[in-house]
Amino acid sequence: MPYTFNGGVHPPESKHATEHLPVRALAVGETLIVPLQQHLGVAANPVVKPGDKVARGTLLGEPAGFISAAVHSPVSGEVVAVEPRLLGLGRPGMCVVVKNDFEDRWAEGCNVESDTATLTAEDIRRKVRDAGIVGMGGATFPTHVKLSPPENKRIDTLVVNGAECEPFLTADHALMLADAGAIVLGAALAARAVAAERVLFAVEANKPDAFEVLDKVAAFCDNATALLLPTRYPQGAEKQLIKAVTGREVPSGGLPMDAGVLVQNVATCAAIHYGVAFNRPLTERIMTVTGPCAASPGNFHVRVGTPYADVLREVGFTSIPVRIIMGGPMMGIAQRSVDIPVTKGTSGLVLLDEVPDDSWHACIRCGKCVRACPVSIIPSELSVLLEAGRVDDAANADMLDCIECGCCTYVCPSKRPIVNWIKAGKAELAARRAKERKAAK
Amino acid sequence: MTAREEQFEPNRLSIATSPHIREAGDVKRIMWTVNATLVPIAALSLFLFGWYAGVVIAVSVISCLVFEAVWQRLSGKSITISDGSAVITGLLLAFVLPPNVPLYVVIVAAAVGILIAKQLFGGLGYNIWNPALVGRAFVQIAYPAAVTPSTWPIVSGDTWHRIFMDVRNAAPPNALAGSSYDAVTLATPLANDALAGFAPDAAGNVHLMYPSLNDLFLGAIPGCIGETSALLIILGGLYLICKGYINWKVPVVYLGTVFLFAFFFPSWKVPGAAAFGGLPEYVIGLDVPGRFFFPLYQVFSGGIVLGAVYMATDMVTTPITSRGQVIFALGCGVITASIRLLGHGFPEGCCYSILLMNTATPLIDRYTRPTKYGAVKK
Ligand code: SF4
Ligand code: SF4
Repeated sequence: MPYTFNGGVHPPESKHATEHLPVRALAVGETLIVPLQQHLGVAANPVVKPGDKVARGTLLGEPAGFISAAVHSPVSGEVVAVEPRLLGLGRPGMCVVVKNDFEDRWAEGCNVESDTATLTAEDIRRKVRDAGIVGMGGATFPTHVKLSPPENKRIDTLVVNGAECEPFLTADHALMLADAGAIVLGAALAARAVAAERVLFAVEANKPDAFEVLDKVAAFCDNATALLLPTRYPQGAEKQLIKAVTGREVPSGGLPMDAGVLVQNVATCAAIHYGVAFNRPLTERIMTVTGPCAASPGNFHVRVGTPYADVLREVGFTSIPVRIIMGGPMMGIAQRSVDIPVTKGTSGLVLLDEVPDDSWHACIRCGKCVRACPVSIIPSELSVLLEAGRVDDAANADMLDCIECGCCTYVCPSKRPIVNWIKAGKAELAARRAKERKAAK
Repeated sequence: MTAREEQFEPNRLSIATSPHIREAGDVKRIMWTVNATLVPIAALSLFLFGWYAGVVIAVSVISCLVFEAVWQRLSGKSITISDGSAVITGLLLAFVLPPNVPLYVVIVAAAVGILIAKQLFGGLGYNIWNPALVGRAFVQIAYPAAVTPSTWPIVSGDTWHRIFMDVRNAAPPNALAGSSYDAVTLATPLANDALAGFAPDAAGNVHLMYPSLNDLFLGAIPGCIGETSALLIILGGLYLICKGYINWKVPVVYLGTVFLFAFFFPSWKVPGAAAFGGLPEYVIGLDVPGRFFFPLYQVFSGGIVLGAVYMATDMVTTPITSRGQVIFALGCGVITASIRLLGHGFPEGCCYSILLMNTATPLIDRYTRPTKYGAVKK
């Protein structure tokens, strides 16, 4: 221990601008745009209408099915609209627009401490579900679902993900320094919910101070250990992190629980703590706003629903960004507008002043992508197949095992957009399979 | 400046899928770095073999560039000769030709290498065989006398030798050194089936036929333009290994295999080779026991150091995984050694061994796929 994972890359970390800055509170704006879908799965059903008075923590949307998550009001005020707005994924989605009354009243029953000692696993899951908690590392999978493994799967290890391997981002780092106690308590609750025997806190070597804090706090818990991992992207990807800290591999096509592991991001753990022990629905998070164009980069406490423009006004520009990325530069999504709101999964905004040129050339078989691929497939082969439109052959060449980390594209000297082709290939395959299923019915 | 919405009309922000950053370095940089490491070898060849070697190199490089540009022009593709790959082909092609090769042979070889072996297959990245070696193999068959001439010019072998040897040894380390290659024309080791006469011949002029290991390593011997100096080739290779452009295992396994073969089967079909252990001291040069002399001689003579460092490591035509590359190198070593030690037809096996293994590359790739993450273990 610790183990390691195959492949990966080490891009310039670019974290210096924000990595030791304390978390700044951001003045809450006048209008908050709260998407009903901030998670993987089905969008929440709106339970409010324009004109309704809401308080902070009032339910705005209830989960529509098991794989869905509740959405709450981030401020007190009045609902002014329920309408589609452009969201971070590039498409419009239903949002509840709330006008802030600046009283910041909590809804009844919210923000009240309660005893967690007697809670059963089922209680914890219910409270997590009610608090609308989703994976805050960016995947945004509803947390209560991850805490509900089927009867026949035994989870023995909870891995708490503080790797934060994406360049530029330091939100998790700031959280670990500021609120390690909440992370450890939340992790203990998550471990209790799935009856995991041990908790492993994983931090990359470029955050030794965060490791030290977690290590000290973890010492107060039974069977909790903090691990310092060598810095390497994509260490924070679930499957790679599992391999790195437990030496186990998730079977191809399987889930972490098939390897007996549950992974939760540090911010998610803190949210679990506040959700379960304080009945605080998830309505705010820490995000990093940084990049070459950021005049005063930093880590911010931001309410969910805050339009980017509000955060960017606080940060200011040294020059107008050419591209704004939600998340980190390796896997983040380029944003179309600054009116898009911050969601539960927005770990940061990176303001870039230059972007890669998109011309590419033939594969020279240099093998760099093969060495970089963390799932040990052959990206160059996929790139050649997909360039020629051979989606089925690509599927037979392990295309579906790709975790879309982008390492192959990052290193390719021919600048081939390999991961873009893979994403398009997967989408085409999924669309075709859906069609076939329809036809079969 | 403030974050005014007007500054971000939807089409002002650049949109693309991740990753949004790229590692520095591109194909051009790789190719030109390889070229840079070939320059010292080219420079030495001018010094050793005279100005005509420079003409051969220039004609080879220019022909490769011209053929590539003309083909791309005629087939309506964009012209990519600035990527440096045609220059590599031109340099390597010249390096595997004799310093007195007629220029038309060079041009024919360049045409075959660039047009048939490279562009006909789709250009850089798509070719199956190493273009320089295809060009050389073609002219070897078409113009055997030009590619394996009866005389091999050398003008400054002795000076090159002295630069190193006189520093380390007050006296010339062996009788051969004094005899000097300057302005002497003679056969290169291996190039003329020289192995067949491995033992000293009755006339006693063995020292003219068989240079010392020192000179073999330095390159102070007659031979093809860029093949002779193992020293410069290895230095160039070390640089490329440090840069991560070539896999160190390839030259090591290739040369190691040849060494071991020659070590364990030294005397096969080589008349008089049984006497290799008893060769006159002055031929041995380096202070190595006789048992190691023959295998080292095999490794440093002929073109296999160049082949192992610069051709068996060609990215396009060799396997993509490290495991595959090791198998490739092993195959090259076995074939080279077999051709040299067992065969009669070809004195020098390097070129053909690499071309043969190029052919096997897709097969090797198929059987050396890495085990993917989470593969269900059976
Ligand atoms: S093929 Fe997929 S998993 Fe492998 S490096 Fe590329 S993006 Fe990452
Ligand atoms: S990194 Fe690019 S050029 Fe190199 S093998 Fe992979 S796809 Fe081909």
